[in-house]
Amino acid sequence: MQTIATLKATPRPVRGTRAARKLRQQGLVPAIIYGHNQPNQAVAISRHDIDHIVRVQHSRMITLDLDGQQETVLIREVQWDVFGREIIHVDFQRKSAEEKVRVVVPIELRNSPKQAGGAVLDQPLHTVHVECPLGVIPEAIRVDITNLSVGHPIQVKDLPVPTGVRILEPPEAVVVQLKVPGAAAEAAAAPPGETPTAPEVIKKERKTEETEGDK
Amino acid sequence: MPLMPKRVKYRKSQRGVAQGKTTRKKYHGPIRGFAQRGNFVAYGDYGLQALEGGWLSAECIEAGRITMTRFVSGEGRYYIRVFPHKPITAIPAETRMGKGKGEPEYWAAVVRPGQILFEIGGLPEAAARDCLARVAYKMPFKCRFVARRPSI
Repeated sequence: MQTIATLKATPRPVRGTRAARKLRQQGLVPAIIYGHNQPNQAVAISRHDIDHIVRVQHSRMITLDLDGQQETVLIREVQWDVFGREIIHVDFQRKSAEEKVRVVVPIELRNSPKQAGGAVLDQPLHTVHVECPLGVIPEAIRVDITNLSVGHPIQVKDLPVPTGVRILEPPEAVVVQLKVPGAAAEAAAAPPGETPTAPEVIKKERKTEETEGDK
Repeated sequence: MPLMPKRVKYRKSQRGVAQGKTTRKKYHGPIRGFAQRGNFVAYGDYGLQALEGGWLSAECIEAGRITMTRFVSGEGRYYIRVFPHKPITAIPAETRMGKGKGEPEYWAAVVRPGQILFEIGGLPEAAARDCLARVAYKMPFKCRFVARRPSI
């Protein structure tokens, strides 16, 4: 289960691109709080603190301290800059600890397969959508892949899920599997024979038959 | 065999934006803006991100692919996140100017800063770093090693 982080927020009276840019220059991140049929509240938070919460603590549930008022919120969305280095905006949604929420939880693989037999590890699903009360959101779903073998993938229904958590993905969806590399490489390779040096140009079909018929 | 489209509507395309002396010479013109899509690791565990913009030729992509294939053989999986859609034309040497546009010479992908070029999965971080450093050496841009974003 995730830890509940505490974060201090200050109201942000001025909105807009320029104001947000100035805030970021001061080491702050613009954010918004919404939900529970209350008016939206534009706030500013410390970039260092939110970065620590997202990258290190992996918390989604936060107790926001806004001018002495405590609010329990869920990190609904994090916006990153184009290089994915810095957080540029955060959405907080007001939620109570018992309320059910839908969030994305990462899947972490543990150990390595005993009988790989030259096969390659393939993980089509890195995250799963789950529905659970806010207070019991798992930090990650950890899967032991020691007994993974070729032809026997681990599916969503095989995932160890904590009580109170429901996975929304289809139960037959493959999470992790072992693939024989030769099969994919052969399929990707060009068929024997002449290799094309230039792509085919799509040309318009001439309507000769129609025009002849009209005449 | 380098990548290229199977079917195209037109054999030649317009050049696109080209300005700035140094970059024009080196990268055949800077590309305006940043990568708004394909700028995070989506399929593998780690990726190689371009920090500059320009044209990435199909030969360069192929060179990176071969490097990755040799490195990850039998262990991990790799993904190529760019495709050369753009035909680049050239006029032969010692030809007088005019007489129309040149013939297609090669195919290139338009890369903007932030674009993920290659991804790798199923390898530990140290091995992935080693592999992608070798690939980055073959790329015409400055690149950096990136991991998956924290999923929130």
